[in-house]
Amino acid sequence: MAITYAEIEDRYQIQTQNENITVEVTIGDAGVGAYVIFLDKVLKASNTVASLGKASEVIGKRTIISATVPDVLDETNWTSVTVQVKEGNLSKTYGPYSKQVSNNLDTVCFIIQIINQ
Amino acid sequence: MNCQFIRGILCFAVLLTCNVCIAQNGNELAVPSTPAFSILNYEPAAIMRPTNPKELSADVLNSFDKNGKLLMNVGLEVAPYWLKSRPGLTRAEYFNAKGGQAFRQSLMISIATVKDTITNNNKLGAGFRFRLSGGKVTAEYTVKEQQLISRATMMSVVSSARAFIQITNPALSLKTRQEVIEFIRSAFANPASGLTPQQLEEFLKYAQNLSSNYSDAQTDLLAFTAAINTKIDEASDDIKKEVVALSRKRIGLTTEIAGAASFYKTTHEQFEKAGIWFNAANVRSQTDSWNFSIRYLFMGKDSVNSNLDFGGAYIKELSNFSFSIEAMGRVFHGKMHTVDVDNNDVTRTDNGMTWRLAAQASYKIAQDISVNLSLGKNFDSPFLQDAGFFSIFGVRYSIFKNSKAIMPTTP
Repeated sequence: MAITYAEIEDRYQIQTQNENITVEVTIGDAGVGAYVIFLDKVLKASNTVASLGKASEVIGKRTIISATVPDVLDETNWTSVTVQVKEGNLSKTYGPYSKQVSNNLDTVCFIIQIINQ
Repeated sequence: MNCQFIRGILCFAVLLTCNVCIAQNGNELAVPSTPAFSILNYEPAAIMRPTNPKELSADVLNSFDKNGKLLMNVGLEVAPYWLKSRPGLTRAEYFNAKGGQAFRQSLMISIATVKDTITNNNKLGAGFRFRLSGGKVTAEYTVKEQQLISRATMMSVVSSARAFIQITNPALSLKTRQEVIEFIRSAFANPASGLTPQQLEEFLKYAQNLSSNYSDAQTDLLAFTAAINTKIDEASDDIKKEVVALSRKRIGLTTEIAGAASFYKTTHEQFEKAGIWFNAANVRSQTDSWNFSIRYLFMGKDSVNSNLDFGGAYIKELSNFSFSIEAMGRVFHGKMHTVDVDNNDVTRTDNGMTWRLAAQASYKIAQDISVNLSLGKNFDSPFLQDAGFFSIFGVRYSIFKNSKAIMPTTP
């Protein structure tokens, strides 16, 4: 059962000063998986929406999303992850990031770094 | 095993076997898992299962020889919806799909060619299969899925260390194995991770065992985290397999439709036969299910024969023992060319109705060995004089794992 790592780096431009910034992760391709969300080295959430705080608490820090998706669906070998950063009514989508595994039961680890500016 | 014992078993089998009509192998009412293979009564040695458009085009091209002729004894199974990634489809949406979405995500198209060694005919079969509803997953599945998510959470925490190993900012960077272990340990211990002290112990055990194999160089630190994840992943294998197996065992109403047709390719393209199947299975629990089916099979060429079958079955499946009883009715129409006493061509037509009633029991002795007993009365044939009653006793031993079906079969 092979493990593949997909590492992505991107940036997020903070839009507001007073809105709470949240991070949502969607595992697609009917996959079963898990994820953890860090703000710098602080674990903010696992397998649920992460609330990062307002602009002053987030600016200059890195949001690190680490998602693990084992392929447990017979119909496809695709795995995918989509990240959505929300700030009040504003939102920005990262991805979807998709990766096809060679065999059933192989696993993909997506590591997405977003630098907050 | 002594000779008397073997003779005894053989005598028992002979006594039980009155009249073997058809091979009894599972539920007669089920929709075929690969309709194109089923209509040809043949499973090709080489089956292509493309998973993206590039593979599909390559497989189609590889199905023809250099003269542009279709190769024989090859099969192709493709699920069009899954030829590309579906990042918007969550697990919950997949399991609860109805109508159009259920059709799209379950549609499977199969094509096969075969050279009939008896008649020397080349034949082409094509078929489809889809679901309109797929039932619900069981509570047992939900428990296993949560276990898998928990294991994947462990791996996600370990993987996150890879980002910090590669960061150049000294305040965030992880530079030694000890720093890596401490970072992961603190994340495991954080209540937000949802991980247990036992999972933390498991991680520490792997980390301690593997640590001495690596240095503190950045590439080694990355390899160290990869090795820990491999250990966690290996220990999760059984859970993954159980999630796959249990995701197929749904309860509630499952409805499936399949169709297939076969053609002769040798001289000129000529229709041979076609079939359409409809199956509704109501799985009441993991052990009890009702199955209702309608199928229509039509055969052309020298004789015309069509059967409309309808019926139901009750299936009881326990851990080692399974039992099923099925009742089916058949409305048939047969037309056959023959000659009269003066050797003139005449057409014989037979219309009528017949029925089939069968009971089957199977006892699993070991993982791949089962003892099977089938009893009942098969359909009467309009063209054959046949008592129709059958009883079959046998031992079934699977040498190879059956991996042909991508779609789960109807329970």
